[in-house]
Amino acid sequence: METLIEIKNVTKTFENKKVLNDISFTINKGEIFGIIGQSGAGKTVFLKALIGFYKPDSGDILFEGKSVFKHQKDILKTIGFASQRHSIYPDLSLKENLKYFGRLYGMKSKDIKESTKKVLELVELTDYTHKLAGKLSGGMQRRLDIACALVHSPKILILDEPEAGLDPVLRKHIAELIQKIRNEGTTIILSSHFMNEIEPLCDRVAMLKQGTLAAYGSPIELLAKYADNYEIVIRSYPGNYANIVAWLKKSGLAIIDSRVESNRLLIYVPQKASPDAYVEYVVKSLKPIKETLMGIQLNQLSLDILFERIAVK
Amino acid sequence: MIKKLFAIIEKDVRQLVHSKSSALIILISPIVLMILAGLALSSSGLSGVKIGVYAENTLAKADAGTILPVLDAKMAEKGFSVQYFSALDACRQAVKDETTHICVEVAEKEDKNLANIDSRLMYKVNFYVDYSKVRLVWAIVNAIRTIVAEENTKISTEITTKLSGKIDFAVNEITKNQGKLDEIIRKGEGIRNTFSTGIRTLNEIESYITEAMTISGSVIETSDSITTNLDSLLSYSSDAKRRLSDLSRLNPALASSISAIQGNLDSIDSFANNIAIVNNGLEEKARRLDSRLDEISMNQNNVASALRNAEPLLDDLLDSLREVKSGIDKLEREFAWAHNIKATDIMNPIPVEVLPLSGEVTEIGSVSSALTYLDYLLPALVILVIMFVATLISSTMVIKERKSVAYFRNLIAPTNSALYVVGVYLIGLILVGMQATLLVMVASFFFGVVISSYLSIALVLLLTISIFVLLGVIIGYLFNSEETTMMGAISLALVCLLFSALIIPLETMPGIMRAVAQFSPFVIAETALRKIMIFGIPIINRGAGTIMMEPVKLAVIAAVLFAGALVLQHFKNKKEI
Repeated sequence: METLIEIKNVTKTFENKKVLNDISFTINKGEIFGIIGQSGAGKTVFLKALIGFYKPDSGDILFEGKSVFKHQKDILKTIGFASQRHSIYPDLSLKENLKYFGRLYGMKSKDIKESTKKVLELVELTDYTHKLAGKLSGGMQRRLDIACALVHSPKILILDEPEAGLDPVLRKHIAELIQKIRNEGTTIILSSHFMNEIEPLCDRVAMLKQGTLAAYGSPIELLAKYADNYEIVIRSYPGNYANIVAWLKKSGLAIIDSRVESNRLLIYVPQKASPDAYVEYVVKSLKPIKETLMGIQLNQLSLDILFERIAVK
Repeated sequence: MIKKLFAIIEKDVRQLVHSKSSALIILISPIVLMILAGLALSSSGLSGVKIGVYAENTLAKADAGTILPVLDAKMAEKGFSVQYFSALDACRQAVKDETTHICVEVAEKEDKNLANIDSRLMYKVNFYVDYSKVRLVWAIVNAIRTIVAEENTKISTEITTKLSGKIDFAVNEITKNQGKLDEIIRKGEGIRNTFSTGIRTLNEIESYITEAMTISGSVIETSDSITTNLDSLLSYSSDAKRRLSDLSRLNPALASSISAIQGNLDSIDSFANNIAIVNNGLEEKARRLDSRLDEISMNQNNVASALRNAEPLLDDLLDSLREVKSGIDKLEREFAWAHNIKATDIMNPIPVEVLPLSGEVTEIGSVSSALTYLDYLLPALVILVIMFVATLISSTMVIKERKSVAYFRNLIAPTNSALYVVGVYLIGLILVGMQATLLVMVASFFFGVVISSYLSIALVLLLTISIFVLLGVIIGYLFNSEETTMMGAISLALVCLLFSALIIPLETMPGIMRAVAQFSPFVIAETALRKIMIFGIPIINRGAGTIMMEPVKLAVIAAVLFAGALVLQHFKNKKEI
């Protein structure tokens, strides 16, 4: 794929603390690229450096070979940015918001009109064109925010934690929207600190850990490279999960890690063994300790866990 | 660039229009403000004020000759509500309790003799005031002082008129008696002259007496000599007779001759004796004359001495009379100065009249070519409204924008950040300009305020709005929350208000504060607007070749503030990104 953005050895220091440390990777044209990291990992600083607002101490960021710090004004015209706070005016209608931001990007009235129609259709807000933005629901506002970022038809759309604060249904809608936008040919860069949210969307991800690039690649590449465990999810009655873990360990099962989440027991076991054998073994083992199995699921390790292992620990 | 600027302005206007309460307050507030100001200024402002009165002597109230009934009537005329107290403490407590606004005590003076002149002079008026309500106190005190002053003037005029009458009477009496005194002095001088003549005559008499005494002495001496000669003659005659007798005896022939001779001698003796008798009489008379002359001389001396003694006394008397005359003449001249002076001239020797520089002040609301109080207050009122509205609107717009979720999108848009400052400035200019225009229009159409020189006024308002909008922009960028921004804007406006002549006259401020106040845009703008609106002074007077400096100063301040706002915005944006 054609490289659109090249991040070259970017280092940025704030008050003697390196918030970005020698970051280097590329973002390809038309892909959805995820930036993942915990709070304080340097995601927002990186995104702001990406649009040229934070000049790095060293390194450079090139858009189609042009340094963003030298050609910021031109490059900004090709970027749409939707922050985690909805960058919209609540006292303006949807149309007025889009018109205003279109004007800021130097668009002509005719182009704004066409683009407004197009992006509102894209974000499925056509019926609310004349409604005040402040009267929209949270999900709609997020979509409007994305529409505002798209009104000038940018080549690149940057979404800073686009699913933050949304309920699962809305997250799904936003995910679908992102896919639709990508299908329009826009390169999307999105950040999040929830790996499970961006994993299904992203073609490639970069994991940031305390300002350094901890991992970088497609989810499959990352899993292949870093994930070597299965995840067994058990739901049983009465659900004495600590007892189950102790019993399984005592029975000789190689448990790498375990935790209780949403009244479910999550057990991590080595990937080398056969998955069916694990399930069979667990089902058999529960009987002696008087636990009735309500459900069992075997998962290959998700990027979320991988992220936790790589970027958090 | 221009399209972007219009987009920024349009965005702000649309936001305002969509927020109906904001739009309404921008349009309604100046109208309401102006109507309130107009109505407030149309009232005298003190009707309904409660005055507590305590009269030390209850007679003071009842006695028609005292000042209190007059004060009572005048206070009622002014619309004051008067409440009488039987004790001073109660009167003063009422002010503390705010049931009255002031306590007026009508007390008696210590000098009771004044009652002989006029019974009203027996009283004095004391005010007990709550100085925490400075402006109200001064307004009431001034009003009551005016009432008391009117009565004071009346009493003083009456007494002065009486005094003037007495002076006139004294002057007439002096003039009348001046002639008599002149006559006395004249007569005295006549007597003095007579005295001198008498003394001179006496002196002459004395010489005559001396001469007479010399003559009488000579007569006596002559008489004595005659007596002696007569004695000698008689002796010779006796001797001759003896010798003749002898001769006759010796020669009797000769006896007859000798007898004849002897008879002749006897006749001579007899003649000599007669002469002697006459001479003795003459001598005696001469001696008596001498004696009388002595007495005359003595008396003359006595009289002369008495006259000489009296002479200086008479001189003294005359001198005294002349001095009295001179004193009375002076008195007459002095009184003549006071004569015909009117009591009002003494009471009010320098009549003071406060006149407006332009037109005649009339009540608010009377449509007249003369200027109203509102005319005089309008410049300050307009600047005051502009100052508060402009600083608040622009600072609120800036901080709202900065705190707006959409702010970030503005920052990352490829738009020159200066455009946002220009946008806020222009929208502030439009909104506040609209308000100022509404304010002036309401003042003009509803309250008859005379407006002329629209262009000059517009220019000054434009510069003033620019300054306060830009100050608001700077405040909006300086502070980081809406609350602190509002406080900053209000504080700035209050400081400007404090350093204006609206609360404290600039002239009464300490030197440094006065100097600082001279640079206050409020003061400069208000001065410029006052010059144009009230005195009709043009900004550029081509005839006189002069230019009003205030608009120039405002333009300089506006330019500096604009540059400051841009610099501040640049740094703040950098920080916020």
